[in-house]
Amino acid sequence: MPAVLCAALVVGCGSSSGGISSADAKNLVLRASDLPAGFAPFADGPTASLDTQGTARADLQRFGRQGGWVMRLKREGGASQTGPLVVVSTVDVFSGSGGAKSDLEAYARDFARQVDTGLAKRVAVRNLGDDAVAARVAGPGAGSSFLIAWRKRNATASVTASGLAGKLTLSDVLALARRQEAKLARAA
Amino acid sequence: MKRLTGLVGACVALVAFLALWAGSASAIEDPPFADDDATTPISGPLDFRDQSATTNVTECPQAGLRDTNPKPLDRRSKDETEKKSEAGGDIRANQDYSCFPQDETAIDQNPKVARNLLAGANDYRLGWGTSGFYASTDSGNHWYDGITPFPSLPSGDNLDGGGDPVVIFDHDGVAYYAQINFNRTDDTSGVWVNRSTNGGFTWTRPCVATGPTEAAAVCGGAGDVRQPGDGTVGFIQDNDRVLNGSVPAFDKEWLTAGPRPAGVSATCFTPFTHSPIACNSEVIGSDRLYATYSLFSAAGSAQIFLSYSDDQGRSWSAAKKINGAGSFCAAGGRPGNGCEDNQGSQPTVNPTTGQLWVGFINGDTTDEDQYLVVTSQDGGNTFTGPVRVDTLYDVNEPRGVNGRTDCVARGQGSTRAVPTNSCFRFDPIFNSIVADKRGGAFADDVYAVLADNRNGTIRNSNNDVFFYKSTDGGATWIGPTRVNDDTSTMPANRDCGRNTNSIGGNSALCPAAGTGNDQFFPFVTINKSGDLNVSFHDRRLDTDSPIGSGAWPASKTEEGNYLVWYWGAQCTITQTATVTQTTSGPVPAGAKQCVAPEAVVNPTVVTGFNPGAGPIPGNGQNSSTLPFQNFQISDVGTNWDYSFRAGLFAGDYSGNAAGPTVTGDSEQTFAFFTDARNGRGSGTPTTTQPGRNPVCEQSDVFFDRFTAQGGGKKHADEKGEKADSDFLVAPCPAGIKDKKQG
Repeated sequence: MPAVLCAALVVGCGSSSGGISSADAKNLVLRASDLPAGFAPFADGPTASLDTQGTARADLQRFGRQGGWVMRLKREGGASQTGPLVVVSTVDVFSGSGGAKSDLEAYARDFARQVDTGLAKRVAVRNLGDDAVAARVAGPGAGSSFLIAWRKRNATASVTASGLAGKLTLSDVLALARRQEAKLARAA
Repeated sequence: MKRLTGLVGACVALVAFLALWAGSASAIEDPPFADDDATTPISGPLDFRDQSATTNVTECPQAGLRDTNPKPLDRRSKDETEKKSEAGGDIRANQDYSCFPQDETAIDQNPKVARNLLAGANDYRLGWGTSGFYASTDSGNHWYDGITPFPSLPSGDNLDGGGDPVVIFDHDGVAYYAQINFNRTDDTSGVWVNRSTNGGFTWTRPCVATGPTEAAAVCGGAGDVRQPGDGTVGFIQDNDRVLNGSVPAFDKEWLTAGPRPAGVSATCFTPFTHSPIACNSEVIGSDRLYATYSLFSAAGSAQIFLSYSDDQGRSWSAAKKINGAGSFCAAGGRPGNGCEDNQGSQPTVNPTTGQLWVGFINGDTTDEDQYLVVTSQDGGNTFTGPVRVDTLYDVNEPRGVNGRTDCVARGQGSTRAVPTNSCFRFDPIFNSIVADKRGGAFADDVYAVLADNRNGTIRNSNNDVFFYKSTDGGATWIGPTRVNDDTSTMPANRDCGRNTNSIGGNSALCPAAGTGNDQFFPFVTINKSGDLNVSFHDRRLDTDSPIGSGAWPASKTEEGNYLVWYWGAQCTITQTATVTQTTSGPVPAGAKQCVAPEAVVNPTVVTGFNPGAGPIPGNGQNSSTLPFQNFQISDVGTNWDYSFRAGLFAGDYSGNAAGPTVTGDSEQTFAFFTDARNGRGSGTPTTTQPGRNPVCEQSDVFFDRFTAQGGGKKHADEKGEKADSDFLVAPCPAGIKDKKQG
């Protein structure tokens, strides 16, 4: 397929019309106050290149991206801890909804790649933003993770939560995603 | 290693996505595994360059200082971890109290003044990555330290991001510090060399020349006394002020010094075009300096270049691409089978002949990487090779894309190699090569150590250090010989769970049982007596740290193989015999020293080019008959989860030096390494720091010395203890935060 057509597909499908501002990105991710007691941030800043390294979303200038934010939180917990131990909340803001759509598609490609290798399983997520994709990753040993990404107008957001196998559920993580979605809805 | 599929491929996948996600995952045809390209990643200092380091502490543990300088006021009480960290003989080289990390080390000894040691490391004391120097004139008992001066640019600005430290002395005792410098917010980067004539205490400030012509070139403004271009090996200014890869990027340089070969005269160069000019006789060095580096660009990711200097680093020859071509690089699909996907170069020179060798890893392969060597006998003007030493089994490391999503959640790049149970960068992008120091029959002998996961899987990393030797100038290699002598067995299926010819996969498909513990970041040196000294980080003593323990329980999924020590291994070569390409099978008797019984001549021939999961040389070597005598160097095993940014980075290499005789002592070897004994976790009671660096994380750089042969004698302060619970979890001490900042 000609690169020109591809480029048009990527960046030409949508425009901003009073959408989410990249200046608000910092306020559109989960904070410790949004999580169960005991969580503390260990990373909190604009999206850096290593945050997306090796993914289909590695280019920080992709799809007309204007900015983004990453918040990483953890809590202490041993083998008996239920719920998430590590939570990563991200947001990326684009110049138009087309860019956000392309970004969600890139998320989906990364998820699909993991499904294809057997590393992840697709999970259904409904009524989250304008579109959403999700996967469950069962790593070796005791680890388990859920990854949820969605689009809200001209922004994409994600929540990744890691915990111990059998002690982390989709509903735990989806509840966090809905909490972040509420922030996006207010900003939109 | 596969190449980046590119926009067209991405577009195809993009268009296919909707149907894929609504339908069957099996619809994916050869998904664009763009990250396969990243198995030869950029160096750590570049990986983290656009991340802002912050801390909110004004005190932290300080174990290991042996200095006599004024001490800070201190409101803390020492915890058990700090008390235990003070035991033993390790000496901390960084004297700062910044509570920021130091890592990625190099060290050398002044051949003119043996008590003068010089070391370098990535140093974050200013709040970002710079190049720290550490100098001693009492054989390492006490250290002076600082940050090397930043190079000045034509714009008048300073290039203040630095890293990838290399320190050497030439035969006159002049010290050199090579490094990459870069901007954190755009693609401007280069390679520079600082110079010191007082043992590494005072350094030149390199400059990029500017001006209308070569003759009118200057360094800076009026009154700038520096020689235009002093110390500038290479430099490229960004063209759009955005960190987007719009111009080539310098990375992973190394530096060495050696005599100009017979018939090669000193040559100096102009600052812009690097045209040969007559040298000022007052500044011609006793040695030629050779700088090699990786240059990431559209032409290759990356090509290896070399420049040399005969005037103590003031001027440098035009960059010469030296990676060459070979049939073993055909999988890269480059014109003429060019080997253009490289990283981690290191030059080394025989001091009697001036012959130069440069080793580097290469990814123009179908699957696993390979280690290549080129050589020059005319001072770096022409090269032969590359020669393939062996396959480097570094593709089958644990990574985010094959199951380590816990590390991605902590902020690690999804294709970066990580060890089992931890998340620090682990890609063996820098291996080590050294030329014999003797002449005569030894003059064409050269040695290399590689670390890889041939005895592990993507679930249970079991990286080992392997030794190779050549006795015919680098054309023929004998090996592998496992250097670490702990238990390391062959996995039933090395490629379990890994997709064919890919770094992706599903590590859950591998057996839970591991085959050994990790050794990594090896460095090899040899002294004039033929004493080989290899040093490396080592997790062998941690055999029982529990699953679900440590600083990040979700990452600690396997028993043991977690805390990190520093170890050494020694073997002496007193005889040699030329072994050539026509030799195959058993190693001839005259070349058997420091060679395992299972090692072979031309191991690549034995394994084939793309051996797959089957048995290969280096599997199943008998620990009881290995030739290297192993010994513990660091006093304590520390937790690298406390090293830097949620335990993501503790450097890409660690150096050692085997020097001449120290007056009044036997021949000494010096280790210089990073560890996290002073690092502590976030969590209660200090959980509120909002920055990108958890409260109390730090690593420091430590020094130790030992005899060059006989198993590191004069070094009996290490007890070989197992994993200590005080290092498994080390909370941040209460009350150390800056009180005004909450």
